[in-house]
Amino acid sequence: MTAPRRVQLAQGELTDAAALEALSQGHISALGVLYDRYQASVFSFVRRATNDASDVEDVVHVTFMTAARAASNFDGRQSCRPWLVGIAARLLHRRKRGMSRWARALRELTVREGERHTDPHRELSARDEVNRLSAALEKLTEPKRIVLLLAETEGLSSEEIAGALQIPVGTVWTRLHHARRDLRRLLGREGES
Amino acid sequence: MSLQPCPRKWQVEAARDGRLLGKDLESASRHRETCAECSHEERELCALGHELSRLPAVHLDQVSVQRSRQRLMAAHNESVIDPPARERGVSLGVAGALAVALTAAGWLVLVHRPPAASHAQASREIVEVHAQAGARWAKHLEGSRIFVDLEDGAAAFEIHPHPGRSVVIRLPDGEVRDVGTVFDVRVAERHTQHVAVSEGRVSIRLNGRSTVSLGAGESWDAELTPSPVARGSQPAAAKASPSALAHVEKRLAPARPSAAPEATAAPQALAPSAADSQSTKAEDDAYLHIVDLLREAKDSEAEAQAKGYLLRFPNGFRRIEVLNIATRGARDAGTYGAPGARQ
Repeated sequence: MTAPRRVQLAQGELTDAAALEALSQGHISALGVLYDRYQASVFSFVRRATNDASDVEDVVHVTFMTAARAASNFDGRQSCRPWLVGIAARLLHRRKRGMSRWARALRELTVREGERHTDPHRELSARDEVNRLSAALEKLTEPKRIVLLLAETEGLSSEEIAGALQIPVGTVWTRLHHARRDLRRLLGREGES
Repeated sequence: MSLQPCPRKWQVEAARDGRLLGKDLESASRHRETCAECSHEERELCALGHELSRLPAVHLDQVSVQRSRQRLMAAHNESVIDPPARERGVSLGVAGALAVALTAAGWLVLVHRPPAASHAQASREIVEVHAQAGARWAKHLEGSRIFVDLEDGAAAFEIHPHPGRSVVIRLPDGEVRDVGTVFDVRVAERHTQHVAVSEGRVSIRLNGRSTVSLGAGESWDAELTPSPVARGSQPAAAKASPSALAHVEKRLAPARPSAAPEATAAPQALAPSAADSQSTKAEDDAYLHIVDLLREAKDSEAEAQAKGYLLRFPNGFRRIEVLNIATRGARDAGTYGAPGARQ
Protein backbone atom coordinates (compact mmCIF):
# COMPACT_ATOMS: atom_id res chain seq x y z
CA MET A 1 0.00 0.00 0.00
CA THR A 2 1.35 3.35 -0.96
CA ALA A 3 0.76 6.26 1.40
CA PRO A 4 -1.15 9.13 -0.19
CA ARG A 5 1.23 11.80 -1.40
CA ARG A 6 1.05 14.88 0.76
CA VAL A 7 2.05 18.16 -0.71
CA GLN A 8 2.46 21.43 1.13
CA LEU A 9 0.46 23.80 -1.02
CA ALA A 10 0.98 26.98 0.99
CA GLN A 11 1.69 29.50 -1.76
CA GLY A 12 4.63 31.12 -0.02
CA GLU A 13 6.50 27.87 0.52
CA LEU A 14 5.89 25.81 -2.59
CA THR A 15 8.47 26.29 -5.33
CA ASP A 16 7.35 26.41 -8.95
CA ALA A 17 9.06 23.11 -9.64
CA ALA A 18 7.35 21.47 -6.66
CA ALA A 19 3.99 22.89 -7.71
CA LEU A 20 4.41 21.56 -11.23
CA GLU A 21 5.51 18.19 -9.94
CA ALA A 22 2.45 18.07 -7.69
CA LEU A 23 0.32 19.09 -10.65
CA SER A 24 1.75 16.33 -12.81
CA GLN A 25 0.78 13.87 -10.10
CA GLY A 26 -2.83 14.98 -10.03
CA HIS A 27 -2.86 17.60 -7.27
CA ILE A 28 -5.25 20.06 -8.83
CA SER A 29 -4.80 22.79 -6.25
CA ALA A 30 -1.19 23.24 -7.41
CA LEU A 31 -2.58 24.79 -10.58
CA GLY A 32 -4.31 27.42 -8.42
CA VAL A 33 -1.00 28.25 -6.76
CA LEU A 34 0.66 28.81 -10.14
CA TYR A 35 -2.30 30.77 -11.46
CA ASP A 36 -2.24 33.10 -8.47
CA ARG A 37 1.48 33.59 -8.97
CA TYR A 38 1.65 34.18 -12.72
CA GLN A 39 -1.79 35.08 -14.00
CA ALA A 40 -0.95 38.79 -14.08
CA SER A 41 2.31 38.25 -15.99
CA VAL A 42 0.77 35.95 -18.56
CA PHE A 43 -2.31 38.13 -18.93
CA SER A 44 -0.20 41.25 -19.39
CA PHE A 45 1.90 39.61 -22.09
CA VAL A 46 -1.06 38.20 -23.99
CA ARG A 47 -3.03 41.43 -23.60
CA ARG A 48 -0.37 43.23 -25.60
CA ALA A 49 -0.68 40.80 -28.47
CA THR A 50 -4.42 40.65 -29.00
CA ASN A 51 -7.44 42.89 -28.86
CA ASP A 52 -10.54 41.00 -27.92
CA ALA A 53 -10.83 40.75 -24.13
CA SER A 54 -12.45 37.34 -24.38
CA ASP A 55 -9.59 36.20 -26.60
CA VAL A 56 -7.07 37.26 -24.00
CA GLU A 57 -8.77 35.31 -21.27
CA ASP A 58 -9.07 32.31 -23.56
CA VAL A 59 -5.37 32.35 -24.39
CA VAL A 60 -4.47 32.71 -20.70
CA HIS A 61 -6.87 29.89 -19.87
CA VAL A 62 -5.39 27.59 -22.52
CA THR A 63 -1.88 28.57 -21.43
CA PHE A 64 -2.47 27.30 -17.92
CA MET A 65 -4.38 24.24 -19.15
CA THR A 66 -1.46 23.42 -21.45
CA ALA A 67 0.95 23.96 -18.58
CA ALA A 68 -1.07 21.57 -16.44
CA ARG A 69 -0.93 18.89 -19.11
CA ALA A 70 2.77 19.45 -19.75
CA ALA A 71 3.72 19.89 -16.09
CA SER A 72 5.94 16.82 -16.12
CA ASN A 73 8.04 18.40 -18.89
CA PHE A 74 9.07 21.39 -16.78
CA ASP A 75 12.84 21.48 -16.42
CA GLY A 76 12.80 22.38 -12.73
CA ARG A 77 14.25 25.87 -12.94
CA GLN A 78 13.54 28.35 -10.18
CA SER A 79 10.74 30.24 -11.91
CA CYS A 80 8.28 28.84 -14.40
CA ARG A 81 7.30 32.31 -15.62
CA PRO A 82 9.44 32.14 -18.78
CA TRP A 83 8.00 28.72 -19.48
CA LEU A 84 4.43 29.95 -19.08
CA VAL A 85 5.00 33.06 -21.17
CA GLY A 86 6.65 30.85 -23.77
CA ILE A 87 3.56 28.64 -23.90
CA ALA A 88 1.42 31.75 -24.33
CA ALA A 89 3.75 33.01 -27.07
CA ARG A 90 3.56 29.71 -28.91
CA LEU A 91 -0.24 29.70 -28.61
CA LEU A 92 -0.37 33.21 -30.03
CA HIS A 93 1.94 32.21 -32.85
CA ARG A 94 -0.28 29.27 -33.72
CA ARG A 95 -3.36 31.37 -33.88
CA LYS A 96 -2.06 33.10 -36.98
CA ARG A 97 -4.41 36.00 -36.56
CA GLY A 98 -4.09 39.17 -38.61
CA MET A 99 -1.99 42.10 -37.58
CA SER A 100 -5.07 44.26 -37.31
CA ARG A 101 -5.92 42.55 -34.03
CA TRP A 102 -2.59 43.65 -32.61
CA ALA A 103 -3.05 47.16 -33.87
CA ARG A 104 -6.50 47.46 -32.33
CA ALA A 105 -5.18 46.17 -29.01
CA LEU A 106 -2.46 48.76 -28.87
CA ARG A 107 -4.81 51.55 -29.88
CA GLU A 108 -7.17 50.56 -27.09
CA LEU A 109 -4.32 50.38 -24.62
CA THR A 110 -3.11 53.76 -25.78
CA VAL A 111 -6.42 55.34 -24.93
CA ARG A 112 -6.37 53.81 -21.48
CA GLU A 113 -2.84 55.04 -20.87
CA GLY A 114 -3.84 58.51 -21.96
CA GLU A 115 -6.61 58.63 -19.41
CA ARG A 116 -4.08 58.69 -16.60
CA HIS A 117 -2.65 62.07 -17.56
CA THR A 118 -4.21 65.30 -16.42
CA ASP A 119 -2.07 67.73 -18.42
CA PRO A 120 -3.64 67.86 -21.92
CA HIS A 121 -0.32 68.64 -23.63
CA ARG A 122 1.46 65.85 -21.86
CA GLU A 123 -1.46 63.57 -22.57
CA LEU A 124 -1.32 64.28 -26.29
CA SER A 125 2.43 63.92 -26.35
CA ALA A 126 2.39 60.62 -24.51
CA ARG A 127 -0.42 59.28 -26.66
CA ASP A 128 1.45 60.31 -29.79
CA GLU A 129 4.61 58.55 -28.66
CA VAL A 130 2.78 55.38 -27.78
CA ASN A 131 0.86 55.55 -31.04
CA ARG A 132 4.05 55.83 -33.05
CA LEU A 133 5.62 52.96 -31.15
CA SER A 134 2.45 50.88 -31.59
CA ALA A 135 2.34 51.57 -35.29
CA ALA A 136 5.98 50.60 -35.65
CA LEU A 137 5.56 47.46 -33.60
CA GLU A 138 2.65 46.26 -35.67
CA LYS A 139 4.84 46.39 -38.75
CA LEU A 140 7.34 43.95 -37.29
CA THR A 141 6.94 40.30 -38.17
CA GLU A 142 5.36 38.28 -35.40
CA PRO A 143 8.48 36.24 -34.51
CA LYS A 144 10.51 39.43 -34.14
CA ARG A 145 7.76 41.19 -32.19
CA ILE A 146 7.26 38.34 -29.75
CA VAL A 147 10.98 38.01 -29.04
CA LEU A 148 11.30 41.77 -28.59
CA LEU A 149 8.32 41.91 -26.23
CA LEU A 150 9.60 38.96 -24.22
CA ALA A 151 12.98 40.65 -23.86
CA GLU A 152 11.99 44.26 -23.30
CA THR A 153 8.58 44.12 -21.64
CA GLU A 154 8.76 40.75 -19.89
CA GLY A 155 12.40 41.11 -18.93
CA LEU A 156 13.40 37.61 -19.99
CA SER A 157 17.01 36.86 -20.81
CA SER A 158 17.96 35.57 -24.26
CA GLU A 159 18.46 32.09 -22.81
CA GLU A 160 15.05 32.18 -21.16
CA ILE A 161 13.42 33.26 -24.42
CA ALA A 162 15.22 30.49 -26.27
CA GLY A 163 14.03 27.95 -23.72
CA ALA A 164 10.49 29.27 -23.72
CA LEU A 165 10.12 29.34 -27.49
CA GLN A 166 12.24 26.24 -28.01
CA ILE A 167 14.55 27.94 -30.47
CA PRO A 168 18.35 28.34 -30.44
CA VAL A 169 19.67 31.30 -28.46
CA GLY A 170 21.47 32.46 -31.62
CA THR A 171 18.09 32.79 -33.31
CA VAL A 172 16.88 34.89 -30.39
CA TRP A 173 19.85 37.24 -30.75
CA THR A 174 19.32 37.54 -34.48
CA ARG A 175 15.62 38.27 -34.12
CA LEU A 176 16.28 40.79 -31.35
CA HIS A 177 18.85 42.59 -33.46
CA HIS A 178 16.60 42.74 -36.51
CA ALA A 179 13.58 43.72 -34.44
CA ARG A 180 15.42 46.66 -32.86
CA ARG A 181 16.94 47.67 -36.18
CA ASP A 182 13.54 47.61 -37.93
CA LEU A 183 11.83 49.39 -35.07
CA ARG A 184 14.41 52.18 -34.97
CA ARG A 185 14.21 52.56 -38.72
CA LEU A 186 10.42 52.78 -38.54
CA LEU A 187 10.65 55.34 -35.76
CA GLY A 188 13.11 57.36 -37.80
CA ARG A 189 15.89 57.09 -35.28
CA GLU A 190 19.61 56.77 -35.87
CA GLY A 191 21.86 53.94 -34.90
CA GLU A 192 21.15 51.31 -37.48
CA SER A 193 23.99 48.88 -37.65
CA MET B 1 34.35 63.50 -35.59
CA SER B 2 35.27 60.39 -37.52
CA LEU B 3 33.63 59.53 -40.80
CA GLN B 4 33.87 55.79 -40.21
CA PRO B 5 31.44 54.26 -37.75
CA CYS B 6 32.99 52.67 -34.69
CA PRO B 7 33.78 49.02 -35.50
CA ARG B 8 32.88 47.99 -31.95
CA LYS B 9 29.41 49.49 -31.99
CA TRP B 10 27.80 46.06 -32.34
CA GLN B 11 29.21 45.16 -28.93
CA VAL B 12 26.76 47.52 -27.23
CA GLU B 13 23.79 45.43 -28.26
CA ALA B 14 25.73 42.22 -27.80
CA ALA B 15 26.46 43.15 -24.20
CA ARG B 16 22.84 44.06 -23.61
CA ASP B 17 21.65 40.69 -24.89
CA GLY B 18 24.19 38.66 -22.95
CA ARG B 19 26.28 37.75 -25.98
CA LEU B 20 29.49 39.06 -24.39
CA LEU B 21 30.94 37.53 -21.28
CA GLY B 22 34.01 37.89 -19.08
CA LYS B 23 36.93 39.85 -20.52
CA ASP B 24 35.07 40.69 -23.72
CA LEU B 25 32.32 42.29 -21.68
CA GLU B 26 34.78 44.24 -19.54
CA SER B 27 36.65 45.41 -22.61
CA ALA B 28 33.45 46.54 -24.29
CA SER B 29 32.41 48.45 -21.16
CA ARG B 30 35.75 50.24 -20.98
CA HIS B 31 35.56 51.14 -24.66
CA ARG B 32 32.03 52.46 -24.30
CA GLU B 33 33.14 54.93 -21.65
CA THR B 34 35.54 56.56 -24.09
CA CYS B 35 33.58 56.20 -27.35
CA ALA B 36 30.88 58.79 -27.97
CA GLU B 37 29.24 56.73 -30.71
CA CYS B 38 28.94 53.62 -28.55
CA SER B 39 27.68 55.67 -25.59
CA HIS B 40 25.03 57.16 -27.84
CA GLU B 41 24.11 53.71 -29.12
CA GLU B 42 23.69 52.48 -25.59
CA ARG B 43 21.46 55.41 -24.69
CA GLU B 44 19.34 54.75 -27.78
CA LEU B 45 18.90 51.08 -26.98
CA CYS B 46 18.09 51.85 -23.35
CA ALA B 47 15.53 54.46 -24.42
CA LEU B 48 13.89 52.02 -26.82
CA GLY B 49 13.77 49.31 -24.16
CA HIS B 50 12.37 51.77 -21.66
CA GLU B 51 9.62 52.85 -24.03
CA LEU B 52 8.69 49.26 -24.78
CA SER B 53 8.66 48.34 -21.11
CA ARG B 54 6.34 51.28 -20.47
CA LEU B 55 3.75 50.08 -22.92
CA PRO B 56 0.53 50.33 -20.97
CA ALA B 57 -0.37 47.20 -19.06
CA VAL B 58 -3.99 46.35 -18.43
CA HIS B 59 -4.86 44.07 -15.58
CA LEU B 60 -8.06 42.18 -14.96
CA ASP B 61 -10.11 43.34 -12.02
CA GLN B 62 -10.09 41.06 -9.01
CA VAL B 63 -13.54 39.63 -9.59
CA SER B 64 -12.66 38.70 -13.17
CA VAL B 65 -9.43 37.12 -11.99
CA GLN B 66 -11.35 35.03 -9.51
CA ARG B 67 -13.91 34.03 -12.13
CA SER B 68 -11.17 33.07 -14.58
CA ARG B 69 -9.44 31.13 -11.85
CA GLN B 70 -12.64 29.31 -11.01
CA ARG B 71 -13.16 28.52 -14.70
CA LEU B 72 -9.62 27.22 -15.04
CA MET B 73 -9.83 25.03 -11.95
CA ALA B 74 -13.19 23.63 -13.02
CA ALA B 75 -11.90 22.87 -16.51
CA HIS B 76 -8.78 21.21 -15.21
CA ASN B 77 -10.74 19.30 -12.61
CA GLU B 78 -13.06 18.08 -15.33
CA SER B 79 -10.15 17.10 -17.57
CA VAL B 80 -8.72 14.99 -14.76
CA ILE B 81 -11.98 13.51 -13.53
CA ASP B 82 -13.63 13.00 -16.89
CA PRO B 83 -10.99 12.45 -19.59
CA PRO B 84 -13.53 11.13 -22.18
CA ALA B 85 -15.22 14.53 -22.27
CA ARG B 86 -11.93 16.18 -23.10
CA GLU B 87 -11.22 13.64 -25.79
CA ARG B 88 -14.36 14.58 -27.69
CA GLY B 89 -12.47 17.50 -29.16
CA VAL B 90 -9.81 15.28 -30.68
CA SER B 91 -9.83 15.36 -34.45
CA LEU B 92 -10.88 12.35 -36.46
CA GLY B 93 -7.35 11.80 -37.74
CA VAL B 94 -5.89 11.76 -34.26
CA ALA B 95 -8.77 9.60 -33.06
CA GLY B 96 -8.03 7.13 -35.85
CA ALA B 97 -4.36 7.03 -34.91
CA LEU B 98 -5.31 6.52 -31.29
CA ALA B 99 -7.64 3.71 -32.23
CA VAL B 100 -4.85 1.93 -34.09
CA ALA B 101 -2.46 2.44 -31.19
CA LEU B 102 -5.02 1.25 -28.65
CA THR B 103 -5.78 -1.81 -30.73
CA ALA B 104 -2.10 -2.66 -30.85
CA ALA B 105 -1.73 -2.02 -27.13
CA GLY B 106 -4.80 -4.14 -26.42
CA TRP B 107 -3.41 -6.96 -28.49
CA LEU B 108 -0.14 -6.79 -26.54
CA VAL B 109 -2.03 -6.86 -23.25
CA LEU B 110 -4.07 -9.85 -24.38
CA VAL B 111 -0.92 -11.68 -25.39
CA HIS B 112 1.16 -10.91 -22.33
CA ARG B 113 -1.31 -10.50 -19.47
CA PRO B 114 -4.82 -11.74 -18.60
CA PRO B 115 -7.28 -8.81 -18.85
CA ALA B 116 -8.94 -9.49 -15.51
CA ALA B 117 -5.63 -9.39 -13.67
CA SER B 118 -4.70 -6.16 -15.43
CA HIS B 119 -7.93 -4.45 -14.41
CA ALA B 120 -7.72 -5.69 -10.87
CA GLN B 121 -4.17 -4.50 -10.50
CA ALA B 122 -4.94 -1.06 -11.92
CA SER B 123 -7.88 -0.52 -9.60
CA ARG B 124 -6.08 -1.97 -6.61
CA GLU B 125 -3.22 0.48 -6.99
CA ILE B 126 -5.41 3.54 -7.23
CA VAL B 127 -8.29 2.90 -4.83
CA GLU B 128 -8.29 0.99 -1.57
CA VAL B 129 -11.60 0.12 0.07
CA HIS B 130 -11.76 -0.67 3.79
CA ALA B 131 -15.34 -1.84 4.24
CA GLN B 132 -17.02 -2.59 7.56
CA ALA B 133 -18.35 -6.06 8.17
CA GLY B 134 -21.66 -6.54 6.39
CA ALA B 135 -21.13 -3.80 3.87
CA ARG B 136 -22.08 -4.68 0.31
CA TRP B 137 -19.78 -3.26 -2.32
CA ALA B 138 -18.05 -4.08 -5.60
CA LYS B 139 -15.16 -2.54 -7.54
CA HIS B 140 -14.61 -2.66 -11.26
CA LEU B 141 -12.84 -0.84 -14.07
CA GLU B 142 -14.67 0.67 -17.03
CA GLY B 143 -12.43 2.40 -19.53
CA SER B 144 -10.41 5.03 -17.70
CA ARG B 145 -12.71 5.04 -14.69
CA ILE B 146 -12.71 2.88 -11.61
CA PHE B 147 -16.18 2.41 -10.19
CA VAL B 148 -16.85 1.32 -6.64
CA ASP B 149 -20.53 0.48 -6.04
CA LEU B 150 -21.47 0.79 -2.38
CA GLU B 151 -24.95 -0.66 -1.97
CA ASP B 152 -25.19 -0.78 1.81
CA GLY B 153 -23.09 -0.31 4.94
CA ALA B 154 -20.03 1.82 5.62
CA ALA B 155 -16.61 1.91 4.02
CA ALA B 156 -13.48 4.02 4.09
CA PHE B 157 -11.84 4.86 0.78
CA GLU B 158 -8.22 5.73 0.20
CA ILE B 159 -7.56 6.97 -3.31
CA HIS B 160 -4.16 7.71 -4.75
CA PRO B 161 -3.96 10.31 -7.52
CA HIS B 162 -3.43 8.95 -10.99
CA PRO B 163 -3.38 11.20 -14.08
CA GLY B 164 -5.05 8.68 -16.36
CA ARG B 165 -7.68 7.28 -13.98
CA SER B 166 -10.66 8.70 -12.19
CA VAL B 167 -12.59 7.14 -9.36
CA VAL B 168 -16.34 7.29 -8.88
CA ILE B 169 -18.05 5.89 -5.80
CA ARG B 170 -21.56 4.98 -6.97
CA LEU B 171 -24.24 5.09 -4.29
CA PRO B 172 -27.85 3.94 -4.48
CA ASP B 173 -28.98 7.56 -4.66
CA GLY B 174 -26.02 9.29 -6.27
CA GLU B 175 -22.26 9.29 -6.48
CA VAL B 176 -19.10 10.69 -4.97
CA ARG B 177 -16.23 11.72 -7.20
CA ASP B 178 -12.74 12.49 -6.08
CA VAL B 179 -9.12 12.97 -7.05
CA GLY B 180 -6.72 11.73 -4.41
CA THR B 181 -8.54 11.65 -1.10
CA VAL B 182 -9.28 9.62 1.99
CA PHE B 183 -12.92 9.58 3.02
CA ASP B 184 -15.71 7.53 4.62
CA VAL B 185 -19.18 6.83 3.26
CA ARG B 186 -22.18 5.27 5.03
CA VAL B 187 -25.26 4.01 3.20
CA ALA B 188 -28.45 2.71 4.79
CA GLU B 189 -31.80 1.72 3.27
CA ARG B 190 -30.69 2.74 -0.20
CA HIS B 191 -29.85 6.28 0.95
CA THR B 192 -26.51 7.93 1.65
CA GLN B 193 -26.37 8.92 5.31
CA HIS B 194 -22.90 10.28 5.90
CA VAL B 195 -19.73 11.33 4.05
CA ALA B 196 -16.61 12.47 5.91
CA VAL B 197 -13.42 13.60 4.20
CA SER B 198 -10.04 13.15 5.90
CA GLU B 199 -7.78 14.22 3.05
CA GLY B 200 -8.27 15.94 -0.29
CA ARG B 201 -11.63 16.94 -1.71
CA VAL B 202 -14.71 15.14 -2.97
CA SER B 203 -17.78 16.16 -4.89
CA ILE B 204 -21.06 14.57 -3.79
CA ARG B 205 -23.87 14.36 -6.32
CA LEU B 206 -27.05 12.89 -4.88
CA ASN B 207 -30.37 12.63 -6.65
CA GLY B 208 -32.63 15.62 -6.00
CA ARG B 209 -29.92 17.56 -4.18
CA SER B 210 -27.39 20.18 -5.13
CA THR B 211 -23.82 19.05 -5.66
CA VAL B 212 -21.84 19.40 -2.46
CA SER B 213 -18.08 19.81 -2.37
CA LEU B 214 -16.30 18.68 0.78
CA GLY B 215 -12.71 19.35 1.76
CA ALA B 216 -10.49 17.73 4.37
CA GLY B 217 -11.99 17.83 7.86
CA GLU B 218 -15.53 18.37 6.56
CA SER B 219 -18.44 16.01 6.60
CA TRP B 220 -21.93 15.76 5.16
CA ASP B 221 -24.89 14.24 6.98
CA ALA B 222 -28.25 13.56 5.41
CA GLU B 223 -30.16 14.66 8.52
CA LEU B 224 -28.27 17.98 8.78
CA THR B 225 -28.77 18.97 5.18
CA PRO B 226 -31.93 20.93 4.37
CA SER B 227 -34.15 19.53 1.65
CA PRO B 228 -33.97 21.08 -1.83
CA VAL B 229 -37.46 22.52 -1.39
CA ALA B 230 -36.51 24.35 1.80
CA ARG B 231 -33.45 25.78 0.10
CA GLY B 232 -35.55 27.41 -2.54
CA SER B 233 -37.26 29.86 -0.19
CA GLN B 234 -35.28 32.76 1.17
CA PRO B 235 -36.23 32.50 4.87
CA ALA B 236 -35.54 28.80 4.95
CA ALA B 237 -32.20 29.29 3.26
CA ALA B 238 -31.30 32.03 5.69
CA LYS B 239 -31.95 29.64 8.56
CA ALA B 240 -30.27 26.70 6.94
CA SER B 241 -26.95 28.27 6.07
CA PRO B 242 -25.88 29.30 9.58
CA SER B 243 -26.67 25.82 10.83
CA ALA B 244 -24.66 24.32 8.02
CA LEU B 245 -21.87 26.73 8.88
CA ALA B 246 -22.08 25.77 12.52
CA HIS B 247 -21.76 22.17 11.46
CA VAL B 248 -18.59 22.99 9.58
CA GLU B 249 -17.26 25.05 12.48
CA LYS B 250 -17.91 22.22 14.90
CA ARG B 251 -15.43 20.19 12.90
CA LEU B 252 -13.06 23.12 12.60
CA ALA B 253 -12.63 23.67 16.31
CA PRO B 254 -10.35 20.75 17.26
CA ALA B 255 -8.29 21.11 14.12
CA ARG B 256 -7.44 24.79 14.54
CA PRO B 257 -7.99 26.16 18.04
CA SER B 258 -6.32 29.49 17.23
CA ALA B 259 -9.12 30.31 14.83
CA ALA B 260 -11.75 30.22 17.56
CA PRO B 261 -11.65 33.89 18.68
CA GLU B 262 -11.99 35.09 15.09
CA ALA B 263 -14.76 32.65 14.43
CA THR B 264 -16.79 34.01 17.31
CA ALA B 265 -16.01 37.59 16.40
CA ALA B 266 -17.13 37.24 12.82
CA PRO B 267 -20.92 37.10 13.30
CA GLN B 268 -20.75 40.15 15.56
CA ALA B 269 -18.70 42.18 13.13
CA LEU B 270 -20.83 41.21 10.18
CA ALA B 271 -24.32 40.93 11.55
CA PRO B 272 -26.95 39.95 8.95
CA SER B 273 -28.47 42.95 7.23
CA ALA B 274 -31.53 42.76 5.02
CA ALA B 275 -30.31 45.69 2.95
CA ASP B 276 -26.93 44.08 2.47
CA SER B 277 -28.47 40.80 1.44
CA GLN B 278 -30.22 42.49 -1.44
CA SER B 279 -27.24 44.46 -2.57
CA THR B 280 -25.01 42.94 -5.21
CA LYS B 281 -22.48 45.67 -4.64
CA ALA B 282 -22.31 44.91 -0.95
CA GLU B 283 -21.76 41.27 -1.81
CA ASP B 284 -19.01 42.15 -4.26
CA ASP B 285 -17.40 44.46 -1.71
CA ALA B 286 -17.48 41.81 0.97
CA TYR B 287 -15.99 39.27 -1.40
CA LEU B 288 -13.27 41.63 -2.61
CA HIS B 289 -12.41 42.44 0.98
CA ILE B 290 -11.86 38.73 1.60
CA VAL B 291 -9.69 38.49 -1.51
CA ASP B 292 -7.67 41.49 -0.33
CA LEU B 293 -7.08 39.85 3.03
CA LEU B 294 -5.91 36.66 1.33
CA ARG B 295 -3.53 38.61 -0.85
CA GLU B 296 -2.14 40.27 2.25
CA ALA B 297 -1.63 36.78 3.73
CA LYS B 298 -4.14 37.53 6.50
CA ASP B 299 -5.61 34.07 6.26
CA SER B 300 -7.24 33.98 9.69
CA GLU B 301 -8.92 37.31 9.15
CA ALA B 302 -10.02 36.22 5.68
CA GLU B 303 -11.57 33.07 7.13
CA ALA B 304 -13.47 35.12 9.71
CA GLN B 305 -14.71 37.50 7.02
CA ALA B 306 -15.64 34.55 4.84
CA LYS B 307 -17.84 33.19 7.62
CA GLY B 308 -19.40 36.62 7.92
CA TYR B 309 -20.07 36.65 4.18
CA LEU B 310 -21.87 33.32 4.43
CA LEU B 311 -24.08 34.72 7.18
CA ARG B 312 -24.86 37.89 5.26
CA PHE B 313 -25.32 36.29 1.86
CA PRO B 314 -26.55 32.73 2.39
CA ASN B 315 -27.40 32.50 -1.32
CA GLY B 316 -24.49 34.64 -2.47
CA PHE B 317 -23.07 34.30 -5.95
CA ARG B 318 -19.68 33.24 -4.54
CA ARG B 319 -21.04 31.19 -1.68
CA ILE B 320 -19.20 27.98 -2.60
CA GLU B 321 -15.89 29.71 -3.14
CA VAL B 322 -16.24 31.65 0.10
CA LEU B 323 -17.17 28.47 1.95
CA ASN B 324 -13.91 27.00 0.71
CA ILE B 325 -12.05 29.99 2.12
CA ALA B 326 -13.96 29.80 5.41
CA THR B 327 -12.94 26.18 5.89
CA ARG B 328 -9.48 26.39 4.38
CA GLY B 329 -7.69 26.49 7.72
CA ALA B 330 -9.34 23.30 8.84
CA ARG B 331 -8.59 21.58 5.57
CA ASP B 332 -4.92 22.58 5.71
CA ALA B 333 -4.67 21.40 9.29
CA GLY B 334 -6.45 18.16 8.50
CA THR B 335 -4.56 17.45 5.30
CA TYR B 336 -1.06 18.47 6.05
CA GLY B 337 0.55 17.19 9.19
CA ALA B 338 -2.37 16.84 11.58
CA PRO B 339 -2.77 13.10 12.08
CA GLY B 340 -5.37 13.68 14.77
CA ALA B 341 -7.69 15.21 12.23
CA ARG B 342 -8.05 11.94 10.36
CA GLN B 343 -11.39 10.35 10.97
